Amino acid sequence: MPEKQCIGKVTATESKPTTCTSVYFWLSPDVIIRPFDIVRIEHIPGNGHEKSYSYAIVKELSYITDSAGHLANFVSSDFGDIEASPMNERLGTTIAEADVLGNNQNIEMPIRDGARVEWAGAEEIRSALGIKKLQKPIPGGYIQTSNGEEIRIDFEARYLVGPEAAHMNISGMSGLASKTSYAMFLLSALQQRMKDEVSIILFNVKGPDLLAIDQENTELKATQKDDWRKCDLEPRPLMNVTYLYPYAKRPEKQFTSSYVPPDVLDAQVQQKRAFNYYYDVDTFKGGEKGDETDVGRDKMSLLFSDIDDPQGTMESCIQALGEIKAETWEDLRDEIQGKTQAGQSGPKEIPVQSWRKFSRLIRTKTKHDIFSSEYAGGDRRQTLIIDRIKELRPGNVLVVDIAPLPDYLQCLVFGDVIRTVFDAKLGLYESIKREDLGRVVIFADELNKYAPATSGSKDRTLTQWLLQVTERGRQFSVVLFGAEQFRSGIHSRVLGNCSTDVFGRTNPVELSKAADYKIFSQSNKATVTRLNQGQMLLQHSVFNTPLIKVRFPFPAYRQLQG
Amino acid sequence: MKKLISILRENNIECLPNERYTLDVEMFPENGEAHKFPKQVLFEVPVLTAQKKTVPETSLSMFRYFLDGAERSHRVIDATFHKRHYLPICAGQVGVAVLERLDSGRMVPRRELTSIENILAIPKVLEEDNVRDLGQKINSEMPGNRQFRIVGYNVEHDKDPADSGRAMIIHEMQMLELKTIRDMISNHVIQDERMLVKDGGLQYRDTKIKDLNLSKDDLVQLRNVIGLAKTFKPNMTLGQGRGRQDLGNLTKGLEWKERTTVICPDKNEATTHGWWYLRLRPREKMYSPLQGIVKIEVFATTEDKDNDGIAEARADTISSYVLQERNVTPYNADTRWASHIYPIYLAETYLRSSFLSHERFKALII
Repeated sequence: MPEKQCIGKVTATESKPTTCTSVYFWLSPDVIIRPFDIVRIEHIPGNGHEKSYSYAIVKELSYITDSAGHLANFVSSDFGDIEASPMNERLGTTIAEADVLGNNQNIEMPIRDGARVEWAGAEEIRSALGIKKLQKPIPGGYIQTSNGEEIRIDFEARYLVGPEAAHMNISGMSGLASKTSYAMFLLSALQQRMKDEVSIILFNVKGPDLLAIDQENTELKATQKDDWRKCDLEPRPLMNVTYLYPYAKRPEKQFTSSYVPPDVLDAQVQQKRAFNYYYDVDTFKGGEKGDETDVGRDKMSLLFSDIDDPQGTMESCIQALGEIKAETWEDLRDEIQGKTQAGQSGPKEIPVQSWRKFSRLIRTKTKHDIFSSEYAGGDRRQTLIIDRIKELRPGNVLVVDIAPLPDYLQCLVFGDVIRTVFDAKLGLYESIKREDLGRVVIFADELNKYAPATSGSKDRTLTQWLLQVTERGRQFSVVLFGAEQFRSGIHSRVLGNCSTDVFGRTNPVELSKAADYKIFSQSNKATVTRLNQGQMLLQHSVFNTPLIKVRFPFPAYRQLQG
Repeated sequence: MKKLISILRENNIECLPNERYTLDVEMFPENGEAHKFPKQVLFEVPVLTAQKKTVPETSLSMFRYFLDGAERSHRVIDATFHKRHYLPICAGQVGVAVLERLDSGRMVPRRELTSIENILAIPKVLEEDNVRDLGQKINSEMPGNRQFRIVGYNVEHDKDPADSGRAMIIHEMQMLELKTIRDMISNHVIQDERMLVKDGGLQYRDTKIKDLNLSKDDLVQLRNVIGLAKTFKPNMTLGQGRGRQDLGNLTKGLEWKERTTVICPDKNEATTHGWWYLRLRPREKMYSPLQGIVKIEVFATTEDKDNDGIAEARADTISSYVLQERNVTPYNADTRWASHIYPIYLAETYLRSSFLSHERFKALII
């Protein structure tokens, strides 16, 4: 390999030796470098004649001088005269600490003192990071090195969406970390690269944010488009998108309570891409044929996700409900009301008071407009979520708008989607061929609502489902992309099953709380609190380094303001 | 690689290793005060009646190069010569380093002006050709960058022969310093606005200056060589008659940024240089009134000699340059920090890091 510009030399001292995994080097005074830059360092030949190169990622930079202490600097300013301007510049140099990524001749010996340090080339960097020879690369952003190189960073599809490993988690502060933008970028990359294999379901949880993801962002600047091309992707919105809005009896708003702007909704209606989802009583009766009552009961328990029920009274009531005969919501409420009367026949484990509470809650919780029946007259574009999932195919995107719903209904819808997809993949629905759906990637923001960190008590039904998805999902091609503000608020097993972790800007309090940040070096911790919008730290199974700092392009879909 | 002691033994010199002595009093001693002058007289025109004055401040400096010479010597072997003499053989490393201050303020070493030599001082009891042969045999066994130069020292009855051996090594260091200065002058490195500051005094013997064989034009450039000594003897007497006083008395009265008048050795002797003292640091911050004072030495130009003194303006200008060098300091890193200037400290550090360690040097020999 030809020699490149030397930017510094390795320094190994008694107190700070080089090791198999770390190396220190001083920098030429005119060189500007930053953490996450990757350098190549001359090393001993492995084959006896040709020198080898090791690659290292800069972890920490420090500037040292020969000053014996702060007092020496004070004295050097005429004993504290702030006007004094020293004639002599104190001897000092920048020392970089770097983690060794590997060696091109597989030498693991510590690098020698005085070895030349050079900038690594783009292909060398990709090779050092372990992303040069991927089977199916999925762009995850690009890195910008201090010497002006821009290098695409890829994920390996097998480890991002299965079958080897799967699931991704994105964390970072609201508004600054651009978690949703990153998730959307990655979903776009999946759609562009794995159109025939991956179908996408995503939830809109905030305002109208994700309700025009198939419309072009006309305000995208040329430089922002270039950023997409740096990732080897086309700057285009998602395609083949269907929108599911919560049904509401509001004719003036196209029968939905969504925050979607009317012009956007009108266009979607015209293209037959917008539907209003509702829940009929059959949902809570069970599976496809209504004979899998467990599924129905589990879904019913989601209605109580915001109720503190340490004794499991509501769950007991649901179990004791028996087969539901009602066809309409009113009938169901009456059916349950019937249990509240004194002198009931059958087992008496559940006191009447509990039934009364259950009935009262059911009555309140099912008052929302989405609990409805199919309207017989006129087209209100009503749909059951399961029917839309049946039609989901690779290359398609299903956006489920849950933003206007209260928390317990958001849990219900999210849980319903997760369970239905998972059951479909398990082959529990005769009308859905599991292979028709492709690999289903489900993106959910505010994951903390659905899989909160356990506080010693039994996990909720929804959390249990999510654990099932994250622990077994890769086998069945169900992949969860979750995002949340605080990692510390998420169930550890859900996080532990993610093969890809994305860290956006976060605050120092969270850094001290979340155990996952404890492995970060001091400089990485500082970096994660200072990341700009459009920058993320990535952790992925195939990378040869724990963290890579990447940039990613601005969203190419229309940005709707809430 | 054979050890030096083995080569000597093969040549019928009976040797005993001597590990007890390191001849250095300190690792980098000052050598400027080696010569004594019987009396010292005022040497400034016009005469500075107050014997001290405040130095005008300047924001610039013409000091460009900084030279430091150092030696590290050991009494390594006690040997029997001709079955009669039992004398020490001294070995040492001598070196000179020159740093240049760039326009940016950054200090960079001038490698072509930096040199280190290994010296072996052998008593002059062997024939010259014998010494030469011995030198060849030793160097044929040594790697290229570890060669020794053999020098002879005189054995005097009233002196410890080890001191004479060390004096010879110091002499070699001074010659290396002077040779470096000569090279810098003859290659026009030193110029009016690119002056050289040398660590230690300029009190070389006249013969040494003559040995430089400088042309008349080059001799002029000696005015751009400044010596800075960190130590001096405060009990030296200055002046004659009633006006005489000890140096310590004069210097302790110096305020910050004040200098003494210029002094030179007895005018009856061939005068080559003059010197004065400057207070670099505020007196009230020093633990002793003599701390923070630096001795500045300059070669006397022909004009100075003609005028019977160094011009006040020249002493002022040079003093103001030296004063400018007071920051930054090697405070806490060097005990002599108060009278040290940082570029010289750096040159010292650079040279020290280029020397072989005691252990590695000794390993070449015994």
